[in-house]
Amino acid sequence: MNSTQEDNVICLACSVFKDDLIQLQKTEKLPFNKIDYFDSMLHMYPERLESEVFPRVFKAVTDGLNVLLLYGDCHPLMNEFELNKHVVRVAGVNCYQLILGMKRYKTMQREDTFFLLPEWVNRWQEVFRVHLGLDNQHIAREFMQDFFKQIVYIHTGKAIIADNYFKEIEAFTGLPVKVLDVGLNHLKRAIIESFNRLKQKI
Amino acid sequence: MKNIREIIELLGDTIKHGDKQSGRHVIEFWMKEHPYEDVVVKVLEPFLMNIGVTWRQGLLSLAQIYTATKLVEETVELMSSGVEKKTLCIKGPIVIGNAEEDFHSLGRKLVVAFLKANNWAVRDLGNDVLAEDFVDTAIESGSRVIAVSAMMYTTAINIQKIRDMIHRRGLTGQLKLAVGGAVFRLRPQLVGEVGGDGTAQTAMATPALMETLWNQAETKRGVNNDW
Repeated sequence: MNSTQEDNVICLACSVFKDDLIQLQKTEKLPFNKIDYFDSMLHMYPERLESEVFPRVFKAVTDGLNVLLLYGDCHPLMNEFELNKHVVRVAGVNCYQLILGMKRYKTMQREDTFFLLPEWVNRWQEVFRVHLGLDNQHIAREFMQDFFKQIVYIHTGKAIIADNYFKEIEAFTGLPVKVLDVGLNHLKRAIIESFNRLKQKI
Repeated sequence: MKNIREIIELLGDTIKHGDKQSGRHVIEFWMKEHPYEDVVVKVLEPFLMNIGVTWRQGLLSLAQIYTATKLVEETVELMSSGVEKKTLCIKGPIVIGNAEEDFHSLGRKLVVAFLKANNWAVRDLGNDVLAEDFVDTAIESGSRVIAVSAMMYTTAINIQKIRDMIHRRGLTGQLKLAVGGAVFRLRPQLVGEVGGDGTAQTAMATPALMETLWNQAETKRGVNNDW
């Protein structure tokens, strides 16, 4: 099988993109109907990411599907999937760059920005305290201020901005939270570009 | 005074709870009764060896690694301010930085702290360093080793540019390239793919790697004495 008809393409995506993909599916014609999501916090645990995502890619290909991997460079072997002609990965370093575009992403990185995505805001305590291990506020503040000058919330449109969460995050980290309104054009372009590569590979 | 095993356990507990201040007090107390320069071999190395074991078991959080790094940094500063200052930073310098487009500096900071603790002078160029800046700084400062850190595959492959520049300037063998970072642990073959001359599995192992690479470069330079 393995033709690039929509039914033969599955998107395996980090859950950080879930709201964005739902939104894009409503307004655009995405080149796939099936999407499987994986917990975005796997990013913090490469071995777990490998054990959960990689077998799913292999299984999809074995089942005769083409795979569009909506992942950044979140694992050292992620790019190896490109060797399989039925798999493509979107061209991007990470989720921030896929949403912001390379130019803006680099500028903000050089401004020592910590990026905050909609999916994380509602569970910011879990992200900071459990996954980053910053449960001691004194260390959390020192760590964040040692490496970053600002926190930027990347608002892609759908999620409601919860001001109280931002205030809590500011109080916890001692860093200002700024809101950056961005559309989904860069993400959409990355998906379409990778789908076109997939068509050429097959 | 507690014995060294108790000191290490105490330090482990302070890291576990992210309590850098208490860790510092433990070290300061130990240093009052021992020669400053002994703190590296007798306290920091066994302490970081324990930390390394815990880290490999996946039981150490980012915050705990950070706390350990800061503790090592502050201990090195404390040591540098001591009476044995004249014996410090007599080797090197090592030119260090994160690869082009890499902004993950925690590992590099730990390596810098450990190099300084082992009497290496360090020229730390920070994050997102271009290949030419690495090589220019190495030449200007008379360094024999460039150490590059990268977190992800995408940024690690930029290290190839440094290898190419070393080659283009006719410094192959005379200027060594050490590479490190999370991506090399999970994908060891990448060391060779990016043109690295060597890597270390932990920050603690870095001084020994620098020693080896520096000596190799010196030997090569002795043969081709045209730098």
